[in-house]
Amino acid sequence: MVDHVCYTIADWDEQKVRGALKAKSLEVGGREGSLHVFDPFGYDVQIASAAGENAFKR
Amino acid sequence: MEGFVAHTLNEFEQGKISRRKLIETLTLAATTAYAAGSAGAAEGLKAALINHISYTCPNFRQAADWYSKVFNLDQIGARDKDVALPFGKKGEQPYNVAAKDVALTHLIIRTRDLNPAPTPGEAPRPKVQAVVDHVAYTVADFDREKAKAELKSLGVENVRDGGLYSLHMTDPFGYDVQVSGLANNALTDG
Repeated sequence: MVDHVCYTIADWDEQKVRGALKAKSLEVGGREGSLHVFDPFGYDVQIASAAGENAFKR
Repeated sequence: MEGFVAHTLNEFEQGKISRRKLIETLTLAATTAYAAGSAGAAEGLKAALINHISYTCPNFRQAADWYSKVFNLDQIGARDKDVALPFGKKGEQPYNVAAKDVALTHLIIRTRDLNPAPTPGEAPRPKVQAVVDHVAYTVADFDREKAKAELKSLGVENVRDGGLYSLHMTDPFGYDVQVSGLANNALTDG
């Protein structure tokens, strides 16, 4: 099963991204460069920078 | 968008669609792109691309080998319980993305407990009521009959037509996987 999908935001600004999510009344979890929220049906949605989530930096 | 326009023009030039259909399709595409751009600007956050799809199954090595075989993907950064399969090579720029800080999309194939005990001090996870019921992959120069034959020769199970332009198949853990060319997009049959 696909347990979550992660989306990349370009020009990552941690404070701006967190602020935008909180402005939507979302509880923001995760770590620097890689944030998690839940959609209205409890599905895990990840939002990350290219540095925070990158297959070549594992 | 540019790729879609080129593909549609190519179909017109080859006589596959009428002039009327060409104009209708391009008008709808332009209107949709404009609306999407306007909405994105108002929302503050704009997703540039899918970073990764996290796929959990009972045996990540078996699944990773299947996805590598079917989609010709490398496996990198293998760990005890997961491995990454990027759609491209290190240093490549994602297709149709101008920004330089957007990672290549990749699959992360894992084996893990999806219902772990909550971490002390953290709120419990909400009950999940949604599911990604399938993932569709775009294949360049897609020829449905040729793709069907190739997939069957690889031993892929349950290969079948989907809509007008795509194929569906079943991965080793029963997950529905779709493949198509550029003709299958949000403006055609979805």
